[in-house]
Amino acid sequence: MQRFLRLLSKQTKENYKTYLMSLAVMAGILSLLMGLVVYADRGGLEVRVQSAFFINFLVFSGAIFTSMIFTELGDKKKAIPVLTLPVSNLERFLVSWVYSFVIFQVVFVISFYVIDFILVGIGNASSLHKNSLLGFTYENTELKMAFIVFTMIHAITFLGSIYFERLHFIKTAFALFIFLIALVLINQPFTRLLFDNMDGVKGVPFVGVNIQSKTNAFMINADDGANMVTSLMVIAVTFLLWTAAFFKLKEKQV
Amino acid sequence: MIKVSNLTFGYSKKATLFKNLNLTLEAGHIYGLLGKNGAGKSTLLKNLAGLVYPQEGSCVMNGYQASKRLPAFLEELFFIPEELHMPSLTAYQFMESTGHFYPKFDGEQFQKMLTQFEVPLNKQLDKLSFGQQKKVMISFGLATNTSFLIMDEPTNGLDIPSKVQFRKIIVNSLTEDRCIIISTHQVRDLDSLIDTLVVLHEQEIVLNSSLDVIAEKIQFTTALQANSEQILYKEENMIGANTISVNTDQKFGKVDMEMLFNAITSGHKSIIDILK
Repeated sequence: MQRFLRLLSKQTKENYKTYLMSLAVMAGILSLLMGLVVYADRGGLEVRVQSAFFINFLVFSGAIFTSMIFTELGDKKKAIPVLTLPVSNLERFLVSWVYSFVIFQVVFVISFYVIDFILVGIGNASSLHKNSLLGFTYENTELKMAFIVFTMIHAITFLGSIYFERLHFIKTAFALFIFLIALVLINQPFTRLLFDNMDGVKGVPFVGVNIQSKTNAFMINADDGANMVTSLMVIAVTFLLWTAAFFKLKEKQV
Repeated sequence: MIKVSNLTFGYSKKATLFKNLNLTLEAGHIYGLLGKNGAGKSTLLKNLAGLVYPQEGSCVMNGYQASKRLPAFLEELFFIPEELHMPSLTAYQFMESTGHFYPKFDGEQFQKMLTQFEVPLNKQLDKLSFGQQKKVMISFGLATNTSFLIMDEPTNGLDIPSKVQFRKIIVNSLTEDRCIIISTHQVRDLDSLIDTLVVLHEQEIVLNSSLDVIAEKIQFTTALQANSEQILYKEENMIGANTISVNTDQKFGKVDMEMLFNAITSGHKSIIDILK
């Protein structure tokens, strides 16, 4: 535990300038875009707009930050001192995980709400709008979904960060894109097979099936039980990807 | 002790760099690892440090498999690569953030060596010149007091006075329970520094012998001084010729490492056979 904390402290001391700069860039872009909405809507900043900013920025900035967390292992010069430092692979893994998953989310939520609070306050100063602050509660299903999507994206980019030696974000995004295309292409013939090769059947992976006839259109969605299976699958895949990242780190050679 | 057993390694399965390589390195010695460009010196050092994994065989250091990179193994090993990356910290901050990972790290020793090398303690390491950065890492590596110190081309980037200082510091840092391995292609930089010579040539360790043993078996003289029947290797120069010959009259002279290296790598197997 002591060694883990020392490694966390070393990581902070050696990288805090980069982290602070990244945070400043993210906060700057978020302020600018949300500020533009407030300006364009004469002080209006609806909850659903705040929610959209929250989800998109959490996922995109999180993906970019996480994809850079193991950048140094792609560069031989930087990788040697990292891999020969007397710490275990698990400690090395956990420090990066804590930084990119736990600390990132805490810092993001605090930064978002500071910016949101200020902009909502500015918007409310005009008599035209009375905006409410985005509710950070367990009941907020959109935020809940944002954290679930972020967790999944984190696991993917975390593995990509250690798997690829450079251009981590682009390569991971490309690999994900190829995977999704393959999934859709494989899903479609299976869906048609289930409906006896009926025309007008279009399947959306993990969501449902759209059936179109000449006169009618139906959407068959997954029921709660099937959604539960999908949720469990997401959790399992997330843990699987984190585990794969650990073993990839363990096997890392320079 | 480092024991390399039947090590086979290559960056791809088709092109192997070493095949069934065996090597034992003991504490209390400074080893000089020599080899031509591309012979695999750096790769061998990386195998010793667990930075690459062998296809077959093993590298074991004090009972630990290098490839497992366990903390107990890494606490007793410090690796100084040829190319360095330095963090945006001062030498003092670096010592504070990294020194405590090594149980035998001596902060005072580190600062003293930096003073000897004339490196400022309060300047950011990434702003220092390459030579200065090398000096910081050499000082840090020595101050960790690990059982094994591996240095890949440590004198690259050092000016002449610093090379002299480097030799002095290394020799003074050797203890009975420490093993220092230095790889270089600048053979002269190892003069008066190493006590054992290791030569890597054509996928094999062709020589692993102390300078005393080498001097006992062969001698380095001019062609005039040598017994012409015992000459194993001859190198012509501007004023005559230098030779390596069998040391039959038990005269102990200085080992000319560069000449010996040239003789071995130019295929004079008789020398290798005598030194075995």
